[in-house]
Amino acid sequence: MLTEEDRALYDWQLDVPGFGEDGQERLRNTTALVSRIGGLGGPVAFALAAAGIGKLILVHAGNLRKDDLNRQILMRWEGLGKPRVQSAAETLSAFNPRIEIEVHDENFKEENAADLVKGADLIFSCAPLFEERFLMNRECVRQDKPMIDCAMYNLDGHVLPILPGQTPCLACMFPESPPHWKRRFPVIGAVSALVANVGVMEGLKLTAGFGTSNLGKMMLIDADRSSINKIDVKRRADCQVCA
Amino acid sequence: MKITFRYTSQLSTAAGTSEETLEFPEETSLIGLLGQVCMKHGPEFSKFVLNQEGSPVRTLVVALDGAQVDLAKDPCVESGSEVYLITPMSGG
Ligand SMILES: [Zn+2]
Repeated sequence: MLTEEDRALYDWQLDVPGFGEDGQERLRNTTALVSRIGGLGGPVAFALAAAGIGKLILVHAGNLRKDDLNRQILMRWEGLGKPRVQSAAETLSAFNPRIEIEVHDENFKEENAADLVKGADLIFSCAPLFEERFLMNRECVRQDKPMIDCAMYNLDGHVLPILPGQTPCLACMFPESPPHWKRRFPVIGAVSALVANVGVMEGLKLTAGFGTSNLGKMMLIDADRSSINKIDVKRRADCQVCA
Repeated sequence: MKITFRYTSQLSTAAGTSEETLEFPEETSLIGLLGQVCMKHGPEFSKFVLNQEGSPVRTLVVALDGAQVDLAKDPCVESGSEVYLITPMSGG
């Protein structure tokens, strides 16, 4: 049951067709894991908090740098040189103190993968390193947890909602790390927020059970032409992770 | 025949555009078309598409008229088709 305060807080979205009190309650009972909380993961966590997710697990190692601030919107100027997860938790708590927040000042890795995924119902893959993304994909498949893969470059992005065993996993799409990828790449914060929010919508629809499913599709976001194209994607019969 | 190509991510940067319509003298298979597009855009583009043996690189996803293609089957492409070339992206 929603409380009076829930109804007051989420009044504008309770009227969204198909969402309603049932969807809101499902969100409140959901824990989302977000790795990492930079240009993509930051706006993902922010939008989940605004929507009324029950709990956020935020995973990101390291201290805030000036060149993070063009896109990492959970961060704060006074947080420069301090752990990013600290800025993020302060921003989110100030925005909505009713969201439970658990932070990890470390990245997603072999040693913590199983526990982090186990504690979540919905997982957002937003990390810069393909090794982290593939590890998260493998662990989500192993534990049969839905994962939303969000990625960006320049003015482009993609969102791939993954339901293990039913839709292509990340390794079905890309069976290995791209050899010509560079760790630092061009991007504008508005592009990362755009891609992040497309990803959050997929997570919200999946969790709250409303709207049009894009499972089995990859969404390709082009902020230059302001278009979102969708392609039907296939599971790989010889996928090393999910086949 | 006319084919519209769409490029994402690093491919779009290498091509200098995210979309172009190209004219080809005759109908050909998908991988044949990829070879011709790689010739047009040069090595900074082709390294994301074809390996030295002329086979698609493992991190390339191709969609033909909105559906991912099994590149091992190398389908024929008809005039008016749209070919989407997709390479991986990440976060940060
Ligand atoms: Zn797979």
